[in-house]
Order: sequence, then structure tokens, then C-alpha cells
Amino acid sequence: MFKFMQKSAEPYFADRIILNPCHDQYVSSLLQKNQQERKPGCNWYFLMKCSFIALLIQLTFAGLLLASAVKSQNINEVKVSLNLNRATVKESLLQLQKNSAIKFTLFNQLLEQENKRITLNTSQISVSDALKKILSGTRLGYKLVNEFIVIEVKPVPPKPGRISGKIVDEKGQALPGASVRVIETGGGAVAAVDGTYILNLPPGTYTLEFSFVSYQTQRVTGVVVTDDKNTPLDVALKIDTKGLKEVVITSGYKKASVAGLYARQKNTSNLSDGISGDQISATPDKHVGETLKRITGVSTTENRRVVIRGIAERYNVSLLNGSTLPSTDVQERDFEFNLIPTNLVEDIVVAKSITADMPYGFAGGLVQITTKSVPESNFLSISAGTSFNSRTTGKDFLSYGRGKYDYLGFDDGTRNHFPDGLLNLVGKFDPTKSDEQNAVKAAQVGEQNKRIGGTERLGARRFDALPSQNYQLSLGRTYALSSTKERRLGFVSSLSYRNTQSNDYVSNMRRGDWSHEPARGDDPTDVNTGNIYGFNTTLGLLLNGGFKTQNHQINTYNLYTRIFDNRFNRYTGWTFENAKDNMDFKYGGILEDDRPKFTDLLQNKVSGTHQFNSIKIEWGLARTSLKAIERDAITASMNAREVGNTVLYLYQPGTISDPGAGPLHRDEYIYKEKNIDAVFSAAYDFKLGKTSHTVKTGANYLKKHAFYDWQVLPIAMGTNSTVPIELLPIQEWGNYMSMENTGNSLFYFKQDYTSNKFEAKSVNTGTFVMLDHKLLPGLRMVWGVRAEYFKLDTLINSASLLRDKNSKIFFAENKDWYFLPSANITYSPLKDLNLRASYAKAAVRPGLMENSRFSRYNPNYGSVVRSNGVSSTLIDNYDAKIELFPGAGELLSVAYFYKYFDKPAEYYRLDNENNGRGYITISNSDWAKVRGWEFELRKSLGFVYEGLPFLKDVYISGNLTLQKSQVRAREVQYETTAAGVDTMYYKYLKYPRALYGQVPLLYNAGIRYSGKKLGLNLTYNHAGYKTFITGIEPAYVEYERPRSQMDGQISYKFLKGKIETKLNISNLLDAPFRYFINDPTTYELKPDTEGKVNLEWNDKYAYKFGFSEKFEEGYVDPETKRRVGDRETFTRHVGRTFSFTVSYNF
Amino acid sequence: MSKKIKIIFLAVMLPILLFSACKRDGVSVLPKIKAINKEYKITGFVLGDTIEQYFDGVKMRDYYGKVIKTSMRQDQLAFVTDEIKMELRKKSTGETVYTQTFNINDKQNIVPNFYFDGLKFSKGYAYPDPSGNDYTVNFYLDPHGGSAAVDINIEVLEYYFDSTKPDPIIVVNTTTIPIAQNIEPGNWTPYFKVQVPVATPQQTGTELYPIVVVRDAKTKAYYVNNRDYSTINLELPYDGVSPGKVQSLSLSKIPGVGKNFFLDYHELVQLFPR
Repeated sequence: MFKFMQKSAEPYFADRIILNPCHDQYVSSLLQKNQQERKPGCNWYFLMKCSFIALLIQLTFAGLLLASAVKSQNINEVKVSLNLNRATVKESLLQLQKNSAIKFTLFNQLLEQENKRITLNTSQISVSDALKKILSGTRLGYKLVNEFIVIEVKPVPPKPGRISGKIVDEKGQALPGASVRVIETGGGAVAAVDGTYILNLPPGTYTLEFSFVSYQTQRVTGVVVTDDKNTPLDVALKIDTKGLKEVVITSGYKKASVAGLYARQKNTSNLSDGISGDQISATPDKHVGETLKRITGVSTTENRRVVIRGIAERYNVSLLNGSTLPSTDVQERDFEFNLIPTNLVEDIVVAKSITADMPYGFAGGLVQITTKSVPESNFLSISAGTSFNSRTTGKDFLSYGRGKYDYLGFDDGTRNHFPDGLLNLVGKFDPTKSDEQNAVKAAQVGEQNKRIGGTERLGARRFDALPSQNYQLSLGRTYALSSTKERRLGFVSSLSYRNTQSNDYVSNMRRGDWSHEPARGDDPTDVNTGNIYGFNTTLGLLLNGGFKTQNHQINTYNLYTRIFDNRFNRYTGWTFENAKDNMDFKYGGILEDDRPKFTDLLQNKVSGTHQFNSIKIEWGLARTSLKAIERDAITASMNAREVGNTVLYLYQPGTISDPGAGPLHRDEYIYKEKNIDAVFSAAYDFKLGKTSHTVKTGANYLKKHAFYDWQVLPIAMGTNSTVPIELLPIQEWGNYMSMENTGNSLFYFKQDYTSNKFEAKSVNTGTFVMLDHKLLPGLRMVWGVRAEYFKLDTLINSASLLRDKNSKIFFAENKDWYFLPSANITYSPLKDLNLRASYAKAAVRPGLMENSRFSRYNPNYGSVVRSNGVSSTLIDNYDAKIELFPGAGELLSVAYFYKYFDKPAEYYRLDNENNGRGYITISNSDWAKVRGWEFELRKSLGFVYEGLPFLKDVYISGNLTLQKSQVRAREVQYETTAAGVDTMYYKYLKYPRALYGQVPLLYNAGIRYSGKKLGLNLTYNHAGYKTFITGIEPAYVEYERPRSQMDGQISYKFLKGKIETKLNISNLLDAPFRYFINDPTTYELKPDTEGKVNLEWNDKYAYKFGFSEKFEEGYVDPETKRRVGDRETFTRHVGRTFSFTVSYNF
Repeated sequence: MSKKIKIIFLAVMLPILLFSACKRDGVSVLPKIKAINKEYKITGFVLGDTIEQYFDGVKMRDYYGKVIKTSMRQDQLAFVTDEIKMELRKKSTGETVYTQTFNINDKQNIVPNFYFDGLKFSKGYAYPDPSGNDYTVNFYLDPHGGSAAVDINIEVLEYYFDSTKPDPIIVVNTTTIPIAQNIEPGNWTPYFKVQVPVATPQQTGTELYPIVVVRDAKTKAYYVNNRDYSTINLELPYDGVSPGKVQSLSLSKIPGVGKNFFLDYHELVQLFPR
């Protein structure tokens, strides 16, 4: 009957059985499975049923049946000889059984799962010792049942689970010192200074009791703790309004948890929106730059610069763990959010209204990124991912010469061409002159050329674009230092690596120096195109740690990031000056711009929170250093030369008569910034009658010190030189730099008109007093005033353009101290309803480099970006918001805001040289007014139909921002008085226009399902017309056209959640970034205005029929063959990205 | 623990393997030019079908009408390899009508002056010798300009000059001497004899000036825009002076700016001298 009952001396094998403590469960699941698969009338079903019954009996009774057949004996006394050489467990046991003549009960499947190899050669070993040696290090054990030895799986002791969360009051304020007690065990814990608690408990169902002085005690029943899992439970305690009489509120786990969540959402005294780490993990985002646009009212410019409430990045402040980070771009206030991988982020909160204790002024919002510090439980996770881009992967990837360690983010020395002590050749060397006539001799130039090095790295070359790859190892540890008191120590560390290669296709480039329109409107080939190749390696090391007790908490945040970012721009087309024709400009030229930038960012921060009875002290000290070196940045232009059989593209060397860097130069730019940042505050809580109050005061100090150094090495050739550059690959040009034949050489024509340096420092100090009144159960008022001092000193300020050498920067800054009042009122007439209103005055300060005289060509703008100096902007902010919290994780809100900017700084396109192309600079306008509405909705679909429980896990979310702005612009006029003093004054424009960076319409919509294993997420983001660069008249104002992006994600968890896989698809619609300018062909002179001077554009021009400020493609005039329509200035296609990530949590 | 070590090991090794597979130098986008020959020349005339010029299988340009140099350096050949193969292909069918290989060592790279009539490739254009003192001419009206037939006449203008007028040439009388009537587009006409233009002034104080004008055969309107645009350069005989001449004129109506056209014409006997 039982096939394993053969001879008694043979081992008994049960081929299809895993005998473990859960085997009953396994059987029942098999039973269920079989029931599901049953089909009446099938003969095989009958057979299977018989087999299954046999199997069931095997499972249940095998051990007993077999064991009952024999008698016991002492296995310690029976000695055997064994001769095992790399034998499997099964082979070893068989030999042991054979040599001892003891009957074994073995199960094939159990034994086959063991990989252990045993080598044991002995003539005298007891059976028990032999068994120990054979089974040690396996999951197997043995037991003696009568005379049988039964080999079985060792029982696994259950691992404890955890309950953790935060104890807060109804306003969401943490309640340090609140206690939690487990009714069943009598054990408990005390909340730390941030209100968090952790309980380690064996699996089971418990009732917890939360209590705190002057708050109602709350019991939560039915809290389930499972094996090695964390059960989150945030609890909000109500103030005990009935005095000393003890009231215990009892609620179920779910209800209490939901209430805690409510309270945290309703927490802040100011207006804010945010996204949690959990929500981020449900998006395809790899870095914070991609995530920000998912927050209400937030959009980004190319995932880098953040626009909040339609207000540009200049008026927004970004903080990492409470400290500002320097701009990684010297000419734009630009923080590269892609520095921070999303999986290190605890949460991102964007504050939109100001309280006096905020040390940094802003107008749009304050982006607060918090990375993880002390974990709730130990973890070790490793993740690896790869991604493919539809326009990059598998295609050609162009770049200048790479270094050996580019994939590791370090330079191998091949870009080092900038030795110290180079001779300035301006006016001192002319290759057409003899040595006697030159101050610097040819041999010196030849020696200098040799020190600088050859041109091997120059010239575009083709590589294969590899898929992006990323790896991360994260470790978190938490240690309880006391079993009775809250004393915890913990740290989170993470090491991450990412390499991304991107190839953005620019299908249309009509900005700045490029031709603004086709020579013939009906010639589709007359278009300037290009590619932006990005090679980015990011190494990140994060080490955060903390120590927590009931009253104290000290955290340290340390972040080191190394980024190697190489942007290689390559554009082909016709210039503004040389339009396409059928003769010598039949083929467009090529502009190449290679910018390898190595950035080191190190931030070390220590912060603390201390509670002394009713006094809470918070402090922080941070040191941030940024070093960004653009090493061997090369600009090269090539002319197209049509010969008989082909088109030759020839690199053009400069000449000594070029006033600037010429068409070919290799540069180095070194930017260093060191910031010291300190904050301190003390808050005192007190009660007056039934009302509670907090008075808070503090100070902050931020010192910035920046250095900028640049070197430009043009490659030039004498006017009569016969170096055969048309036959020489540019990589070999270095062989013609020895200067032995001076007239026929190429050389580095270092030309400095100034010292090529900038140094500045600024100090920003502030102090504040703030009062927080909880007047009624539903009324809270926070108000205060902040005094702020700012001083910027420019120590060295070289002009990078010859024409700026003698220019001065006028500073309109006339005030160092500002007093900035603020007030926030929150009223909750109903439990789930908040009404908020706030007012605050803020000052946004100029950046260090914004007052430099540095100018540089930006290949993507096609223009030079020049710094001319800006002054602080003062902003009055008025906000009102209604929030409704219909359920856990659900929100409905409406907000209105109005802002008045005094001297807003904007990105302008100016054309002071009147060359039709202009340049870009930052300049202050007179004033701006911005007003707008914000709406947000987050709702579970559980209410739709209760019969479908999964709908409770489906959330829809959406937010909408509507905004309108007005700016009074001004034009600076320079004048020299009769006394010869340079002065300036402004000419104000009477017609208001939109603020730079504004987005009048912005919305996000998403649907998300979060099951136990499966997660699905679809998000849609739409941004309307955005003012990209502003100007004095439409021909200079550039807009970004509306853009919609759709992203999707599928995630699935395996092995009880240990393995998580994610498939992300971003930019499903393959939406490009499109920019345009209202072309002069779309408007016409108004009657009777011709020849009149000093008229503003609106007085003089009107849009033609069918045209407006929005984008209109227009048509080609059949008579003139010219295009009449808006100029599509820049169209960038980034493609769809498919990424796959696997994470394993140990 | 061993599993953890294995996974960490793999995670570390994988990128290293990927890095080691990465190229450092890449392949240069621009080819290395071995030599540039500055004595390359191509001349000819194309009618009826467009000729496409290919070098080593890559199309460079189209030829129709007179084969001319449109850019400054078109008389150069850049050698990436030792030989360059040039093919001239008939656009409508893709058929190669002429092949020539240029070698890097050749001092000159010259394509024979060719004539392509839409069907046949010839190394030169064939035309008869002058007969006595006669002036003969044949015409080819290019069909690209439209399907209208044309008349070509000598028009002797009798005019006087008035500098006070916007158009100072005031024509008072025109004497028409036909050369060819009803010329259909797409085919060479037979050779016509060109008469010596003879006219008698009708007024005093006027001058006579002969021009050759192309007019629509049906409407008799100027073929292109106006009289000036429709006038062609044809050498006319002078009684008792000229030694006799053969002319072959190809005419083509080309779209200009707006609704305007201009008349492109070439005299093939001059392009293919014997």
C-alpha cells in the first residue's frame, strides 16, 4: 500500500513530502488547489484523488507508522565506522544507517534541499555524534522514536514582530514622554522626543494603552503583530478637558491608526503639500528632480529647476535636511535635484506659507527634502536596476574622448590640460612676426603648448549607448540601549551608484545665433537640429545617524555625492548671419560643445532637539562644500565645405585677431563654494486657562564663500599658415604645435584681458520671535516677526568678455536689515475641516555669482548668458486655504494666493547691441503681482462599491493650479552727467506682462492601486504655457508650449515582500519639450504709428488676424515663400524610458 | 550569510564587468581625408530627365540643364580611400548611365563634357556644320515650365527714348519676323533658318532694335511675365556680313518669386565647341 514501506532495514523515502511543522497547512492548501481544479467526469481526477489521499495519510501518519514498528536503543553507545568524502547529507545518512543497522526515516525532498558536503573518515564514532556532524549547519535535526531515527526539519522559533508609530496630539504635535503599555504583557515604552515609539512583541493580537498627562488615555484593541513584521500605528490623543477624571477611550486598531494619520496630515501651522517616501516609491522616479512635479502646485523645468505655484526657481528655496545647498550651476539658481536618489528620501514637504522661524525667505515655496536617519527596524537591502530609453539605448552615442574612469565618475588625467603659470599672449605674440618683434618668443609658446598637451581628446567620436544602470546598498540599524527607558541609537547608510546615458534629439533649434527662420518657408530641410548627449555617473554615500531618548534627540546627516556629468551638445544648421542658400551655404555647419563636469558635494550636519519640561530647544549646525570642475570643456565649430564628391566638415582654428575665444577653445572652470549654516531656537509651552501657547525665539546664521576661476585656451593659427588642417584629423593638431616653424604652426593663444577670477562672500543672519496660540480647540494662531541682515561682498570680479572689462555693476541694494512679519491662522470649525489664512513678508537675496561680470555661451540657448547684477526682492505673501479630510489618506483642498513682488529678478533676453540675436541676463523689474487658485483631491474608491474590497486600495488623486501674473517692467538707461559721473535711471513700461517662469495652468492626475503584492500606478502631469525667458517685446519673449507627461508603474513583491520588482515607463506619450517666440511676422503696425518714436510695443503693434500670444504654427506665404507664424525656437525629444528595478531586503 | 555574500559579490562584480566592456576612444565621426585633388571637373548638359550624381554609392547632387559648379570648392575631390567611383544615374529609373573611377594618384580627375537627352548619355552634343552664310537654329522647350506651345519670333522694335518716363523706351511700332511657330515642349525642333531682320521706320526720330521674343503659341501673350523676361539671346544674321552659324537653344521656364517666372536658356553649340 505504501511504496516507502519496503524492507525494514532500508530507509523510508517519501518522495513528494516535505515534512515540516507547517505540513498540515501545506496539505490543506493542496486540498484547496485540488478542489479548484476538479472537473466532474474526469478519470484522472479519480486517480489523483486516490494519490492525494495516500499522500495525506503519508504526511500525517508516516512518522508514527514507521516509528511504531521498532524498539528504542541507545544511539550514544552504538559505534560505527564511516568513510565519507564530500558525500551529500543523503549519502552520509544512508551509510550511517547501513553501518549502524539502525532504521532511519528519511524524506527525499528534505534531503535534496541540503547542499552540504561531508568528509568524515573514522572507524569509531557514535551514531549520535555522527548525526550531529552530518546534520550540523543544515536545517535538519533528528529524533529517536523507538528504534527509528526520524530526520526532520528543525523547528524555527518565531521571530518577534514590532509595533511602531508616533504619538501626537490632535494638532499633530509630537508628544514626547507619552507612554504606551501592552495590556497582555504589562510591558511598554515611552515616546521619544519626536513622539515615536517602538514595541517588540512576539506574534499575537494585543491591546495597547496610550497615555500622557492631561490627555485622555486611549486603548487600541486588536493590534495584530506578525512574525518579523512591523505594524504601524500612529495615535492622536485628545486633550483631557474634564480635568483629573480619568477617561479611557477604546477603539479598534484600524480606527486609531486612521485618526493618527488624520492628525499628521492636519499638523502644520502653515500651508504645505508634500509627498512621502511611500508615495515616491509608487512612482517611476529615480531622483528627486523627477518627483517634485507630482506635488500640488509644483512643476520643474527639465527636471532641474523647480517652479512652485507658477513662480520660477529663483523664488524657491531648497533645503536638504534643513540646510540650503549651493547652486550647482554658476549662472543659474539651479540645484541639481538629480543628486538625491528617491529611495533615500523620507519625505519631501513643500511649504507655501511662511512662519517666522523659517530662516530662508521665499515666494513660491520652500522645498524641504528629508533623508532617512534612524530607522524603525534593522534593514539591509540591495537593489539593482537598469533602464532603456527609446531614443538612446542601442543607438549611436557621440562624445569627445572619454577617460578610463568615466564610468566610475573620476577623471583619468586625459582632461588635464591646464598647468599653472601659462603666459598671456595678448599683444605679446604674433606668429607672423619674428622673435625680435615679439615679447614672448616662439620657443616659449612651443614649450607652453607642450605643457598644455595635445589635442587627442578633441573631435566627436561614436560610442554605443549602454542601458542605464543603478545599484544601491542600504543598511539601517537600530539599537535599544535600555529595556525600560526610551534610549535608541541608530543609523542609516547607503551607497549608491548610477550611470545614465541619454541622447535628447533637438528637432528644431532657432534660438540666439542660429537662423531664426528658413530661407524658404517651404524648404523642410532648412532646419537646425542637434543632439544633447548626456553621460552621467553619480556616486552617493549617505550616513545618517541618531540618538534618541525620551527628551533628547541628536541626529547627524552626512552626504557625499560625486557626479561626473558630461553634456555634449552637437548642433547642425545655419546661423543667423549665414542663411541657407544653394551656393556655399547649401550645407549647414556644426557646433560642438563638450562640458565634462566633476562635482563633489559634501554636507555634514548635526542637529538636536531637547525637551526640558516645557522648553524645547532645537539647533543645527551644517557645513556644506561644493566643488565643481569643468575640465577640458571644448567648444568647436565646423564649417561645411561642399567638394565634388562629399561634404567636408572642417574644424576651424581661431586667429590672433579674434577678440574673444574664437571658434575653437578648450576651457577649465572651477567653482568652489563653502557654506556654514547654524540655526538655534527655543520654544516654551505654557497654558493660560484652557488655552495653550508656545513662544519661540531663535537665530540663524548662513555664511557663503564662493570662488570661481576660469581659463580659456583658444587654438589659433597664423594668417599665412599652410598647416593642412583639411587633411589633418583634429586629434593630430597637437603635432603641429612645436613652433619650430612659427608661421606654419597651430598654438594655444591664451588671451586674458582680466584675472579670470571671481570671489564673493555673503552673510545672512536672522533672529525671530514667534508666538503660537491654541486658543480654542479648533483655533490656532501663529504669528511673529523676523529681523534679517544680509550683506554681500564681491572681493574679485573679473569680466570674462572684453567689452565688459570697463563696465561697472550698479547695486540697487540700499538696505541691509529687513523686518519681516508673518501670521498664520488655522481654524477647524468641524473635526475634519481646516480653514487657514496667512500673511508673510519675505526677502529673496541675490546669489553670489549673480553679481559677477561673468558671461558664457550656452549652447542650448544659442546665446551668451551674462551676469549684470541683481538686488534683493521683497515679497508680500497672502494665502487662504480650506482643507477637508474625508477619510484616511484622503484630502480635498482649495487655496487662494496673492503675492506682491518688489523688484522681482527675471531672466531677460536683451539686445543692447541691436544685432537681432541678443543675450540673456538676470535683471530686476519694478514690481510683480501674482494671484492664483490651487485645488487638490485625494480619495479612495472604496465608497464606489463595498462588494469589491480592492477598491479601498485604489486611490485617485489630482491637483490643479491656476495662476495669473502681472509685471511692471523697466529698462535701465545709462547716462554720464556733465561732471563726467556715470549714472543710471530706469524707463518704466506702462503695459504689464506675465512674470518670468510663470505657468498659468498646471494639473496632475493619478490613479494608484496598492495591493499586498501588486501595485499599479498611472500619473498624468500637464503644464500650460510657461514664460521661459522674458523680454521687453514679444520678439524676445520665449515660452514653453503646454506639455503633458504620462508615467506608469507596475510593481510586484515576491518571497513575502523580500523581493520587490518594479517596471516603470516614463513619458509614455513621448512628449517633447517645445519652445516658441511670437514671431514678428504674426503682428503688424497699428495705423498711424509708422515713424513715431518712443512707443511701446502695445502702442505700436497688434497681432494679425488668427494670431495671438499663444502658439500658432501659421502658414507659408505663397508669394514670398516666407513662413508667417510663431517661431519654434527649440524642440527637445527625450524619449520614453523603460526601467526595471529589483530590490532584495534581507 | 553565504547568500548575502554571493548577492553582494554579484552586485559589485556586475558593474565592474560592464565597465571593463566600455570603450574609451570610440570611432571618429569624421573620416580621415587622405588627399584632396583640386583638379576635378565635370561639365555637361542634361535634358528630359534628371541625372543623379553618386560617389561611392552616396548621392551628392542632381543635374538638370547646364552642369555647373554651385559652390566654391566643388572642383575638388576628397579621397578617404585610394579610389572614388562616380556614377551618373537616370533619376526616373535609377539606371546608371555613366561610371567613372577616380584614382588618388591621378593629377586630374576630369569627367568628359557630356550631353544627356533624357534617354542617351553622350560624350558631347552633336550638331551640323553651318550651311554657307545661313543662320540656323533649333529649339528645345523644356516641359517643366508647362505644356503650352510657343512661337519664337524676331520682333523689330521701333522706339524712341524719353528719360522723363518711368520706362524710358517708348515703342511706337513692332515688325514681327517669325523664326519658329508652335514649338511643342519636350522635343528638339528641326533647324530653322533665321532671316535677316529687316524693317522700315514708320516715324521720324525713332530707332530700330531687333529682339527675339518667346510668346505663347495660342494666346500670343508673352511666355514669361513680360517682354523683357521673354526675350532670349539669339545671334541674328546681318546681311552680307555674317559667315553662317548653327545655334541650339534650350529654353526653360523657371518659377521665381511670387507669381513671377524667369526664362533660363542655354546655347548648346557654345557649351560643346568642336
